Amino acid sequence: MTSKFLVSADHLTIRFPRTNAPDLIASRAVNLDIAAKETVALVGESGSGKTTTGRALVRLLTPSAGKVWFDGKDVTHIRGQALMRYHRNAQMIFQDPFASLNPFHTVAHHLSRPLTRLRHLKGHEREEALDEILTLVGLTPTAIYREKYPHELSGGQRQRVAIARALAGGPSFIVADEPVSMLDVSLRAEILTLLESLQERRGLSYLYITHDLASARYLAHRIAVMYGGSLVEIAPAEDLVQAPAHPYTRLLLAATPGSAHTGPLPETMQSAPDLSEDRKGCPFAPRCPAVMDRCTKTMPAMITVADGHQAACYLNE
Amino acid sequence: MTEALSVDSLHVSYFTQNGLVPALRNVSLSISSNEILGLVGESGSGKSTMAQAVMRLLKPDTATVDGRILVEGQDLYQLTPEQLRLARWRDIAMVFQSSMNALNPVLSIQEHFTDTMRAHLPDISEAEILKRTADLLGQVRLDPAVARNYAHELSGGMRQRVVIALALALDPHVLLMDEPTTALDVVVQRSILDEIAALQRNRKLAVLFISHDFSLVSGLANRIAVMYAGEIMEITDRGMAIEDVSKHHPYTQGLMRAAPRLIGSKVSIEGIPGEPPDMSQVPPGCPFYDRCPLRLPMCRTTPLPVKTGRVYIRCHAMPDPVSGKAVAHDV
Repeated sequence: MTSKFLVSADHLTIRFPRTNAPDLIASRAVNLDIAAKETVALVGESGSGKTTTGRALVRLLTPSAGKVWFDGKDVTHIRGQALMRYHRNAQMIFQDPFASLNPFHTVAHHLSRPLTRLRHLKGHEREEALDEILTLVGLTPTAIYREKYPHELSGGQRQRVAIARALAGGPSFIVADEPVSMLDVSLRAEILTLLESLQERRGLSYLYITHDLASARYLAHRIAVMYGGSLVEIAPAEDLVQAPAHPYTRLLLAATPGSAHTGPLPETMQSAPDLSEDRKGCPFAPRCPAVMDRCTKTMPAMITVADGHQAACYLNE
Repeated sequence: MTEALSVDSLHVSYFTQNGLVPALRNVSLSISSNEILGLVGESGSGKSTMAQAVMRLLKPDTATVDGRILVEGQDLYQLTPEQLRLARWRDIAMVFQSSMNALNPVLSIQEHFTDTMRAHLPDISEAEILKRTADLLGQVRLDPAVARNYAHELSGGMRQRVVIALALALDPHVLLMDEPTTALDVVVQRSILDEIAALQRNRKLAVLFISHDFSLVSGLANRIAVMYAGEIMEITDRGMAIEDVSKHHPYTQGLMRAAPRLIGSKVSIEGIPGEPPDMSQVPPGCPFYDRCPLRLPMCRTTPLPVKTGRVYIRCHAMPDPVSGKAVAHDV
């Protein structure tokens, strides 16, 4: 497969087996392409499959079906050395900077490991690389921050260390899983603008996983919306916010703090989507104010509604 | 007219190994029935201490509390333990942040309601308890059959609704809510906020709604108090419209400029440089001095002016929102 995209999910499916119940499909035939130097935000509620999809793209999970492509190569089932080489290129930033750093290790220790394992740096070279990435994420003077333990850092500084660790291998693609949701508002802005400037300087591609449409609109070029394991809409960020084409996206926009929506929410009932293997039709059908007969029988394919804007909803036919 | 809740010059300090550390300083606000006051602040600003102090939940060996807290005119800190027990829940109730921890896992939802009502109304009949429980659950849009369930059988949104219904069990006039929707998905959060707004209107409640989320609170509250380093910097009734940003306290301005927006034209965001002060060494002047873009030389050493009223800004560099007159004079 040759394409202009850096990373692609191609009918990506992640299945979690259950006993005494049909298997759970956390990510169901998801197609998602991310270009070089592009930020795609993946938005949805808890349990929608955002994190599972992100983890599969950096190959912390092996897909049950479908493919993951990186730079034209099939990385779906790579293992061992090949997987380690892939992790130089594809890294992850986790949500909770309190849980993702080891309390017994210094900042320098956290950053030395990927420099050694992924880039095989030693001695003086490694120390220089370490200072360079600390400077890049704004933890200066580096001599002081190198020796700090996580408990000596604020939440924002910890998340900077986590970002530095993700940068250590020299990646071109980073999955940032809710990187600011645990932080105070004033720190969120600093981390979001740091991610922006790193993209500029290092030519990074991001998959920005979030439940917050406002920050997705700010950071991303395109926004993809997941519901119940399925991708339901993808569009340039501004189009998605101004002209949503899927009823779930409309609901999400109406409910987000800061929206201009007043009155009842556009949903018929509150319920959690069915993630089981034998689900038929659109996962949003039970809540959808515009549900039609066929919505409960077959899942609509992605339908193009505008340039670069697709939604999986029969309303757009 | 008596305010439903009035807090007057509240000071709270915690006993620590390094001596007394202030958590709330000179906090004054009042809420009348029929309004929601949002209390917004970042981690460590004193929001939750505020809720605990108002409920008189701080133990005398952990913290010192000075100032007056009046609920419907009665001073909570003058009550005997038995009077206090009766006043809580009947006059002033609280919804805690984590609904999973607020419900007892080995009691059914019905038993929570039964315990609460029996503790305050010893003569209440079983039939009356069941009737009131069903009614309360209906008011938060839950099926009354939920009463037979246990907490772990309910979703996060349902549990939070149960906790809200439970807080209303004795028909209090004042309701404190500490981040009641923080762990929930946005759609569930929004529908619970709509219910809170409806309950507040129908019951003429005075609600103190504590949150870290400025945009969430501005959609709900009539007024917003902004807290920083244990002090209320501003009480505003303007919401967070971006065109009014310069009319707010410099700290509020910083918060507003830091938050990405969903509507309107896309604007750039910027954080507030620096960090909140170490509360064991708060400076004598304005606690925001180190981070403030509008600071004057006097702000470093001159304490913030004490203000009362429905809306105010405590800042040497900003005009007063009511009189419009600059409060600062060159010193």
